[in-house]
Amino acid sequence: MVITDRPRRKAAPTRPVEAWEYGPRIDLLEKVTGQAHYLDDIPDLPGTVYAWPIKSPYSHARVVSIDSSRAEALPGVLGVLHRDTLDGLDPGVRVGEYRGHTREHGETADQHFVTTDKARFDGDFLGIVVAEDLRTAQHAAELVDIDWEILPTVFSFAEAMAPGAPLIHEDLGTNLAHEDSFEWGDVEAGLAAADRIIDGAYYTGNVFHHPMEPSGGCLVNFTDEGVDLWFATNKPFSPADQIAEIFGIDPDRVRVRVPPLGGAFGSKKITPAIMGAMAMSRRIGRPVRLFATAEQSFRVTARHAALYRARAGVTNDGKLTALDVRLEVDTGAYFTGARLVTRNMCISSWGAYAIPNFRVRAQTAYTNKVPAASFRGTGKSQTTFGVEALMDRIARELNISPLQLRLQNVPLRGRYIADSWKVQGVEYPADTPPMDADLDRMLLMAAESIGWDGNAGGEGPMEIGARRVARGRGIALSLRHGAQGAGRAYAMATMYGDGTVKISHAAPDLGGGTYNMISTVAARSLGIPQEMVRVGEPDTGHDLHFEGSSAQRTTVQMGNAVLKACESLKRELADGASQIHGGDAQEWTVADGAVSRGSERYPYAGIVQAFAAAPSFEGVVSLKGLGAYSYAPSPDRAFGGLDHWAPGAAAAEVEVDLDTGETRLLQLAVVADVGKALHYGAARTQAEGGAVMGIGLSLFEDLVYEEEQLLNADPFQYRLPLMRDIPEAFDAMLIENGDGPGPFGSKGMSQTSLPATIPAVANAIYDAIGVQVTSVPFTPEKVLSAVRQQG
Amino acid sequence: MTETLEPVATVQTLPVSISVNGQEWSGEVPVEEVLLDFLRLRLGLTGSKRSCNSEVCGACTVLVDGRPVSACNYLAFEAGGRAVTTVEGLAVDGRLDPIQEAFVDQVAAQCGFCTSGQLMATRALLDENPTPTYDQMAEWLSGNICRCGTYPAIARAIAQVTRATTAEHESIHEEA
Ligand code: FES
Ligand code: FES
Repeated sequence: MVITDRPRRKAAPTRPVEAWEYGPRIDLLEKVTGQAHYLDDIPDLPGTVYAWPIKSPYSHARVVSIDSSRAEALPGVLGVLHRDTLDGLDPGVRVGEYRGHTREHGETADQHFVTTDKARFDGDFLGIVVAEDLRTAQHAAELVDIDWEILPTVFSFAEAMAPGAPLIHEDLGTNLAHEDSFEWGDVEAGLAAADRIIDGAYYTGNVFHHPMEPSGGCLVNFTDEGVDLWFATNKPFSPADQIAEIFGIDPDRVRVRVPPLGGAFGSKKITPAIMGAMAMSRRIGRPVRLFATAEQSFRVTARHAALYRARAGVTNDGKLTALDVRLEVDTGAYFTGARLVTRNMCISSWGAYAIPNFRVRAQTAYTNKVPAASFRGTGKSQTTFGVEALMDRIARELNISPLQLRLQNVPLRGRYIADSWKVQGVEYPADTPPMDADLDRMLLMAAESIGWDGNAGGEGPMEIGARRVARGRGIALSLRHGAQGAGRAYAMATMYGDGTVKISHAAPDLGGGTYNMISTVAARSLGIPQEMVRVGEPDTGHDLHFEGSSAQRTTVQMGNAVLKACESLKRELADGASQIHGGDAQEWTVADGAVSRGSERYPYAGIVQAFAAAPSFEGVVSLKGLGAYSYAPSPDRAFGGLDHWAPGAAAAEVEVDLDTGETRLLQLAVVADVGKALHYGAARTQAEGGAVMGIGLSLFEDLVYEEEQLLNADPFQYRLPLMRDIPEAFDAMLIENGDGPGPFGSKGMSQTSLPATIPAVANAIYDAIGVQVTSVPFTPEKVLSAVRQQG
Repeated sequence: MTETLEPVATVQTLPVSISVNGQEWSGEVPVEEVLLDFLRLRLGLTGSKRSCNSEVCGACTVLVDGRPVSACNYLAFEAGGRAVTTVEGLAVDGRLDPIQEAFVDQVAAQCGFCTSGQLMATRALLDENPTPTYDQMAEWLSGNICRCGTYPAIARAIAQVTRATTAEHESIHEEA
C-alpha cells in the first residue's frame, strides 16, 4: 500500500480569473463530442487509393537489389515506387524540414527523397506501394524482394568519432556532421580565478515525441492543376518548395491544408514517405491516402542524444566564475536538425545563471539512428539536465543549499546575460534582452509548494511496510528564449454582413489552444464576443505566411499578427463609416462592436451591410484587414527573435525504493512565467502537460539501440508516463506580470516546464540516495547501481 | 515464371446486429473486421481514434455493454447482440454528459486525440464507482495514455463531476 504523508490536492489558481480567460476553449466542444476531424478522419476523396511504405528493417545496410515484380502482380496493386521505378524523378532531391530554409540549411540537408544506395537507419524510406485497398497495399509491401548487404552500425557519438568507424555518409569522409561554438568573457581566466573547479558529465539519450496521433500520414491529390496535400504538420509552408522541386512544378501550385493535430512536440513534418505517396498520386492520377502507424511514427524523427560535459569555476562562497562546456551531439542518420539543435544546445548550455565567463564547444556526429530534429524545448532538455545536475554537485561539494546556490547566481531582473559574445569565433553584440523575469521568486515558489526549505538532506533509509526507501527533494530552473524563429507572420481578419469575423492564418493548433488564442485576441481587439469569431484552418492557399507553430512563438508572433489584422480591419471599418456616413475616417472611433462619431453609433455589421445593400456593390459583403508581425531584423546579430525570456522552475520530491531502484514522485511543482495567460485553464494545463512529459523523460523514456538494432520502437515496449505515475500533489503555478511582447503582455510558455522537470527529479534522487545518476532516464537499473555504489 | 497471386480478400462474413449509440445496425461484417474500423469506416463515427493499434493506449476505447474495450483489437462481430457506446453517443439529446462538460471546464484535453478514450473510460469508471479516490481513478485510467499530459486536469474534471470539488474549482466558477 502506498503510504504518503504528503499534501494531496493543490493547484489553486495563483489569482482570480476573469470570465474571458476561462470561457470554454473554443476547440474543446468538438473534441469532447468526437466531432473534431483530424487527418485520418477526413473523408476519402472520390477514387482514393491506399499507400504502404517500404522501409528498411536494418539500421545500416546496402541495397543490392530491389525486385517489386511479385508485389506488382498482386491483384489490386496499382504500382510500386522505388529507386528503379522513379518515373524520371530525381532521387537525389533532398527532403526535410530544414532543407532550403536558408542557404546553410540547404547545403547540409542530406536526406534523399528515396534512398538509393543504402539504408542508414531502421526506417529509412525505400519506396511505397499503392493499392485499391489498405490490406492489399500492406501485403504487397511485404512481397517486395530486397537483397541487402548488412553493414556494421554506429550507435553513439563516441563510436562514430572513433578512428576507423564505419562511415554513414562515405562521400563526407567523416561522421562529423557539424561543429558550433559560443562564448563570452574569458573562460580560462575565470577558471583560474576560481577557488574550486567542479566538473561533471551528463548524458541524455534518444527519445521519441510520440504524439498520440502518429506522425507521417497524408491525403494527397496530384492533378494537372497542382498538388493538394492534407497532412498534420506544424509548418504548412515548409514543404511547398521541396514538392515543387521534386516534381518540377510551380510552388504556387502546391496547396497544403492542416487539420487539427493530435499532438506534435516537434515530430510532425514532411517525410520521404509523404513525397512517395505524392509521386504515386501523380503516376496513377488518383488521390492517395497514407495512414501513419505507430511503428512508422517512431521512425520519423527523434530527440538528439547528447553528452554535456562541463567544468565550473566557483568561489568558496558559491559564486560562479566560469563555465566551460563541451557537447557531444548525436544527430542520427541524416543532418535534419543538426545545425538548429546544436545551436539551441549551445545557447542554452549556460542554464539560467549569471556567469561572467562562459564557453561551449559542440561537435555533432552522424550515427545509424532515426534522424533527430526538433523536440519540445529543442536542445534544451539535454543542456538543462546537464547544467542543473552540475549545480547540485557544486552545492554538495561546497556544502551550500541547492536553493541558496541558485538564488545567489541567478541574473536579477534587468540584468544582461552578456554584452557581446562570440559565435563560431566571430564577435557579435549580444542579442538577448535584459532579464525580464524574477527567477529568484520562481525558485522560492517552487520550493515552497513542496514544503521545502531548499536544504539538502534526504530522509532515509527508512522502512515503509516491507519496503526500504529513501526520500529526497530537488529543484531546477530552466531558461529559454521566448519566441525564437524566423519569418514574418501574417493573418487576415474578414468581417461579414452578420457581424461575424473570420481569422485566416497558417498557425496549426498542435493542442495548446492556438485557435482559442487567435479567437481571444480577435474578440478582445474588436470588442465582440468570442462566439462571433471563427478561426479558419491553416491553408497555404491564402498565401498568409507563417513560419510555423513551434519554438514557443505562436502566441507572440501569430497573436500579434492577429492583433494587427484586427486593427487594420478597424481602420477599414472607419473608412467604410466615413464613406457611408460622411466625415473623415479619423473622426470615427471603432471599438466594442460599433463605429461611432459623437452621438452616431453603428454596429460593425451595419457598415458591412451598407456596402452590400448598395446596388452598385452587389456581392461585396465583407471587409478585410491584414496584419503582420515579426521581431525587428538585425543583420549584425548572430541570432534572431530572442525578444524575451521564458523561464520555468520545478521542484520535486521523490521516493526511491532502495531494493528495486524504482523511483516514484511524491510531489511536483512547476512555475512558469507566462507574461499573461490568454486562457488561464489552457495555460495551466499546458504547463502541467510539459511537466508530465518531463516525468516520462526522467524516469522511463529511452530508445534502445543494441546489437545492431533499434529494439523498442513500438508502443508496447516504449514506456510513456501514465496517470498512475503522476503524483496527486502536483502544482502548476503561473506568473503573470503582463510584461511579455505578445498580445496583452503574453509570453511564450509551452516549453517552460519540461526542461526544468527532468533535473528537478534528478536532483531529488541525488538528495535521496546521495549519488548522482548521470544519465537520463533514471531507470531502476541505473538508480540501483548508484545506490550500491553508495554502499 | 510469374506465379499467380491470390488477392487479399475477405474469406468469410457474418451477419450481426449491433446497437450503436442506441441505433440498431444489422448487416454482414467480415470476420476479421475490428470494431474500430466498423465504427470509423462503416458508420463514419470517427470520434474513436486509432493510435497504437495494439491495445496499449486506449485512444480507441468504447463501451460494449457498459464495459470499456479497445476497439482496435475487438472484432466487430463479437459486438453482435450488444450495445456499443462511443463518444458520439455520450451526449443525450444534445445535452453533454457531465464528464464532457467537466473536461471542457478543466481543459482536460489539449490536442484531444486521446480524449474520446479518456471520456469513455471515465464514464465506465464513474458508472462502477461514482466517488473514486485519486489512486483508484489513476489506476483505472492508466490504460489511457495522454501524451499532452492532461492527467492532472482529468483528475480535476473527475473531481468536478464527483462533487469532491476543490476550493479552486468553486472559485473559478464564482469568478466566471
Ligand atoms: S488504438 Fe486501440 S488501444 Fe491504442
Ligand atoms: S490531449 Fe493530446 S494526447 Fe491527450
